[in-house]
Amino acid sequence: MLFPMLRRFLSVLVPIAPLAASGERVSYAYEVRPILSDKCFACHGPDAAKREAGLRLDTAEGAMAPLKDSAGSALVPGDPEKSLAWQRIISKDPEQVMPPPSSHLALSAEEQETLHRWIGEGAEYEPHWSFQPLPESVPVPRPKDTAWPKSDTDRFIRARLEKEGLAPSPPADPLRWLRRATLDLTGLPPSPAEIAAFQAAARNDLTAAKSAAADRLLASPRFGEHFAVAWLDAARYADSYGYQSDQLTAFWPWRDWVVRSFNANLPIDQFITWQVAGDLLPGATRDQKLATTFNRLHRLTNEGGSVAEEFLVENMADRVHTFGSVFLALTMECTRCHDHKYDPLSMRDYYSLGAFFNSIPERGFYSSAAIQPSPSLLLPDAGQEKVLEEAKRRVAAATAALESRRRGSDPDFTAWLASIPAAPPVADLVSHLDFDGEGTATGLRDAAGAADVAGHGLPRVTGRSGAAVKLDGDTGIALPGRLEYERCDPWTVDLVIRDTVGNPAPVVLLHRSFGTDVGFNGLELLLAGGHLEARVVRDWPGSAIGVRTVGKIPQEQWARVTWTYDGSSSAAGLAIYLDGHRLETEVTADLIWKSVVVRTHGDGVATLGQRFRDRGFLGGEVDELRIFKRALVPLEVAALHEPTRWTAAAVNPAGHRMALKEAWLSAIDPAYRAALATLREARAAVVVAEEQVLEIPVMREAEQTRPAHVLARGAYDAPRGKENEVTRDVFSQILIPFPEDAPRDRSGLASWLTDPRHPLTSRVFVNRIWANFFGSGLVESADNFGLQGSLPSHPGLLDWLARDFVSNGWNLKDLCREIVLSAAYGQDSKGRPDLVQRDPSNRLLARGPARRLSSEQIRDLALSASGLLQPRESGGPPVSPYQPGGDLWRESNSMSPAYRRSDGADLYRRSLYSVWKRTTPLPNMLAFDSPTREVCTIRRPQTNTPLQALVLLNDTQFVEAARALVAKVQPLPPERRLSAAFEACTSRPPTEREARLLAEVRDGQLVIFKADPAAAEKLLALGDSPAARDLDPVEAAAMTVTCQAILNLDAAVWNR
Amino acid sequence: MNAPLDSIAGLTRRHFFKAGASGIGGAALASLSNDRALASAAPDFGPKAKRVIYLFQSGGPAQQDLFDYKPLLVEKNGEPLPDHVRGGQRLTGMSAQQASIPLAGSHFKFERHGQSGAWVSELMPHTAAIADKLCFVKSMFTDAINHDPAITFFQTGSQIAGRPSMGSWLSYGLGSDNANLPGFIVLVSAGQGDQPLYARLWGNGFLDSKYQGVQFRSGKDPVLYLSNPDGICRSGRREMLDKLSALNRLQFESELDPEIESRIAQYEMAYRMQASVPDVTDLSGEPESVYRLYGEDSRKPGTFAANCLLARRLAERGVRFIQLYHQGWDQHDNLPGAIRGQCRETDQASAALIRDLEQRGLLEDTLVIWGGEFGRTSYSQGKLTKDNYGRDHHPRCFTLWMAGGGIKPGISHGHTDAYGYNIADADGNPIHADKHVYTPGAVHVHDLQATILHLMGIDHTALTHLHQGRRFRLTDVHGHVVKELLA
Repeated sequence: MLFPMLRRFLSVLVPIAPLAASGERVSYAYEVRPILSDKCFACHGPDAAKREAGLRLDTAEGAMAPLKDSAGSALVPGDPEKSLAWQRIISKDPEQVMPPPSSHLALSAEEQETLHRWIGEGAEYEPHWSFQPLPESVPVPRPKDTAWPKSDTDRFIRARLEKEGLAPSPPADPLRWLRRATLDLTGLPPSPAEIAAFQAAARNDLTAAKSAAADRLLASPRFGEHFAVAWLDAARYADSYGYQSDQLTAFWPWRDWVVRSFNANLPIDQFITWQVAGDLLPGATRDQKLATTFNRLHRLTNEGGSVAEEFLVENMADRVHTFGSVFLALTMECTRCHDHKYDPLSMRDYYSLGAFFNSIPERGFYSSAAIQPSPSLLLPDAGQEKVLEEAKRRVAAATAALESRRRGSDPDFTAWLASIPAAPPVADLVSHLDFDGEGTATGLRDAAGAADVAGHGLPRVTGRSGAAVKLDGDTGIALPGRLEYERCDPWTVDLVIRDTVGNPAPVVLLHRSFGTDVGFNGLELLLAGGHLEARVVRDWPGSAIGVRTVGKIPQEQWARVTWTYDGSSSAAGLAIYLDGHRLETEVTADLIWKSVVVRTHGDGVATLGQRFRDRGFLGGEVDELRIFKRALVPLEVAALHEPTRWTAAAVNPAGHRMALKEAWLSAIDPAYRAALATLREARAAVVVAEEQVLEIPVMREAEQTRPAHVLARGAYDAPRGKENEVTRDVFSQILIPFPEDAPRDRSGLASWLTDPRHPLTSRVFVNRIWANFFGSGLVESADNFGLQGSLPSHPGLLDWLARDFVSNGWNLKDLCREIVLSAAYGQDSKGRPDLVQRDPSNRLLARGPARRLSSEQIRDLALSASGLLQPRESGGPPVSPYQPGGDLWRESNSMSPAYRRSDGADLYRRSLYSVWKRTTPLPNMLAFDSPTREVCTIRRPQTNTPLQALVLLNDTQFVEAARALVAKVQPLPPERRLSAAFEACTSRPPTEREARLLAEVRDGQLVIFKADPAAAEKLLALGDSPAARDLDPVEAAAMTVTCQAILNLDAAVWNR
Repeated sequence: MNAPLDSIAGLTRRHFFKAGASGIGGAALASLSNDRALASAAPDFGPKAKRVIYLFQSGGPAQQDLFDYKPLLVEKNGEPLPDHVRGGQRLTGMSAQQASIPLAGSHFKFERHGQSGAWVSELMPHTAAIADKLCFVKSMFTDAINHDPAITFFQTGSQIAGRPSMGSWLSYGLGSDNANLPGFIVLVSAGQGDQPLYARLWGNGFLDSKYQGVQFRSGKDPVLYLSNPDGICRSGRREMLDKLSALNRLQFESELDPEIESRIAQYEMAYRMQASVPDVTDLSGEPESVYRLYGEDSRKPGTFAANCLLARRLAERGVRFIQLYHQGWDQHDNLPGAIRGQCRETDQASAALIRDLEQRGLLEDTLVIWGGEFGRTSYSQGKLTKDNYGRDHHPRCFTLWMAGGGIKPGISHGHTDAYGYNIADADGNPIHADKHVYTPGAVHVHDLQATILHLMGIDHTALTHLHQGRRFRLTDVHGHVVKELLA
């Protein structure tokens, strides 16, 4: 049984239809380069690091240069015998022959002959077709047959067929065309009413009927739903994150945007631009920002222990690979670790492109299903929008009221000054620990009346005043009931500490947060190499506020660290003091929304000096801790450290009037404090309102551009330095240059991509649209336009379509209309004996297209034909159709959420809306070649397996559809029922023989169910939809099995 | 589903063309019309194994507590892992921030077993008893440090999703020996919890979906969608299928598309599977002695023991690749308690499978592999106490064992240093293993994969598939056959 595939393949070695005309000079681009690329370039190609013998065969200069190791050169134009490459190719010496046996590659006799001829003819190189700029105009051929072509598209195809001496196929039956066009434009079969209307119109004027049908289908909202599917594959869209516990996320607003955009016929250059750079467009709209979710759809992990930098690189890489495959049809993956083996792309190119995508405020992980990873966008609905506006209006009003009180408070303030107290007021203190005592720390009393605190036997050392405790980094001092604040709350934390270690990595001084090592939310005070950092975090760093001190606190000395926060949700509201003096800080994050108290993991108890799977304050000593439920003002903070500073102000109020007034307003004045409380409440209402709103990850540039480097072997931890740093760039050496006046960011990248001269963007897109109708693109490798990709079957047509598309404003619907109304598309698809040998895979298009329906189309067809399909569609959260077995999601993943099957109408929505969990995709979709959506997929395979038969015969979904189809045809006269059911699935009446066989199925089943009526009842009980009343169970069961047979017909599940 | 293509009568020319363009074998394409290259693709060594049973221990079993005896850890229990031993290796984000990382000696007794004198701990008495039939590889190492990437790497040769799994590669390269069963079958112990498993681990990646692993489940429907709907009997289904074939044949006469014939054949295969799968998964006919061999658990469908027994039945029927998964080895904390339970669930049945295969003459051409996606640290994650310790992930050295077809029995291959932290030479001096440069004594995941393919008669550098212009293989650009393991 060794290599059965070898045997099979050899037995049918028939050359694929030649694509270049014979008798002419050998074409480098079409005949030679494919051989060289596949057999030679891996060792003698663009990858400078792996270039054997220093010989480069992908350029004329390289091939004709004198060889390093031997006299002469690899290629001598016009003289194969002097060409050392040729000598090596025909060598019998295993040490000498090329390609070497170890490569498992070899040149066939035909290939050798081609190379021999090419060298003999002068060994002329030509540039790779797809890297050449899109021509300004493309001449349309003039075939001799002028009757057949209906459009320029057809002229290209007819001319090619004439060259090959082939005739096109006759037009398909009008109903076959209608089914084909309806499935290809909307993903659904035509309804009986649509069939009837079309037939009536076609009797008068078939051409007009087709044109009207095309317009109707293009205007249908189902159009966008159908075209979205392939785009979702390409964009690796899913409803879950895809790693480990594979939690669900809510990317679906982006999916709905795709559907909307296709339906609205958004010009494709805009469609692309928005997704690449919508956030950077001037005055970006919500939809433009939403479109950028495209670059955030990659998988994301929240597995504990993951290394952030590794996944930041992984996220960047996925964006680059997807960008390359989707827009350029270039495979970027190889260039992550080495220069491309086939295409002239270097590692440097890879990381330069990556530099457009590595600089957003992301953490690399998601922390929990409850928090969408930042950066993100809020998507309030109309009602929520109003609530939010109202809440923000209240904040503005409360802020104004506060200012108004400040301005109007002078008389009261002056009165208070008259009897100013000698000691500072200590208002709003809620916790005070002095850690004093003897021996190791046990129970610690709180002087402000908060709960007692466990000391866990931490050692006591001499403090600045009295005793202090010394922390070990792994034992935290839990502070129950303290710091349980939302970001609308103000607070002050005052600590007296001594750092004996000076750890350069951030250590946790104090926090109140939920989460694990992949992300905490809450508030935290960190210390890194002496720099203090205060943060209020929902999802670091894109949804957070934070500041870091420019200077350092001293090591080995007691220091009073005071952190105040005013509840403003802005970095400006954070202040850090050292020994009563405010420290200069820099902003580390300054955009936050929603709550910072999300109970994801852990008990959320505020803790000193330690955090779960985080670095604790090893060697840190703590002498004093005070917490206030208010942002103390500078004079108060100063007085905490030196009470005399208050006294100094109190004795000279005129000299300290402003500072004293701030203190009085904040700590004493009842009116001002009441206004503060109102403001807090207004801010709290904003948090509550935002918390209701849908949130989605999008692209947003980081404040500071992250540097990008060429990473040796693609490793995240490869050395980074000035010498391997790269700046943002595109592969201008092979495509077109980056637009000079465009910014070096994603918006410039989008301009480059959608430049009307761009060699790839429009060709790649048009080719994929072509594949939607013909099953395969004009370039079969729709995912690879590089040197290893397949060559276009009709290069002129591809260029003409792309140029027309661009000139026509990147109009998708016009392109679709052009194709569906062409004579080529309208041909019959039946097999033709003369093509079996010549063109079995229909590259020349002498036949119409035929292919199996996609997984979505098969299920949608069953739902639609049976009348189960939920008619009203408007996107929204994914639904969960029938799944076999128990809970497949949790079966081997106990960390996964449970599968909750939908009920009612949601069981019958189009498959586009079915939930997609990357690690456990719906098995009936997978059986029909849906990709897992873990990575970008441009082409789905089309396989044929027994599992497909089992799905269509036994899946509740399809049994129920058969049962519903029975009910649907029941009102018809008995003799019409079977043919109506057949027509619902195949869009044509059955032939006489088919009708007879169907009747035989029914009659045979009648006998079986009559003998076992209980079995009939069981069959009819399957599925959630109510059984039709007034049906004889035996008859209904027999009809159900017959309808199952119909749903399993080639005529049903194939589009021919 | 792995339809054995050869067995399908209706396989037609159209298929070959499609396959030639995008499907069937890079290995085939690479060698088409050239005898020399053909000879190198079909290797000059015969297969030693006809099938693989892979007992995957998901989560990463602690080698220090099972097979890699390290008395020094007991001696130095509680002392910090010396920096020179760690050698700057990365730790996971779970223990990287610990203020101290104390060495943790195993709580379990080790003894030497059999003529080979293999060290096995008291946790694995049944495995210990067959030590002379096993080949312990103590110097495994891998790239990844977290479960998802690591298990994906082990099963598909890449940490990134989207590549075909090992069983898919084998199905693709070798087809199936049984016309009525898939060639690649997956069994997962039921109800284990712990680190998740994913469809991608037995996925086909960019190969055709017919090469994907088919999961057999315990219970009524061993394969999803296998059973007829309630109310439909086998004879009724047969009758309907006959008519369905006739209808599809009419369509073929009109369309002349060989795909239609192929579909008709798939329906027949599906029908046969409806009988053959329940037959093979029904263990009730096994004699009492077999249950005793595999242990009490083997009477409960879905347990690891029952799956081992089922694996033997599948092997008997010529299934090419049988992949078992047993979760629960991820012992970050409470290791001494948890690992005991894991061993109870796996030890007897694993050893029984070897004995059973041997008794039936199947061991000589069945390759059995037992191991996880990485090892565990010699230091304790979390607090080390008298009664308790945990171990974090450790990719730089770990142990697995192999047995059967083509494997040298009764040996231990490779060493680790006295701390059990690094791969070492025979004298215990750490050696730096690098997958880019083959290091004798160290066995990278790609080396293991290359060795498995070699035993199945495949040159791992020749089994390739052209995808997006590049020839992919299970071992990427790495991997060496570890000759020392071969009988």
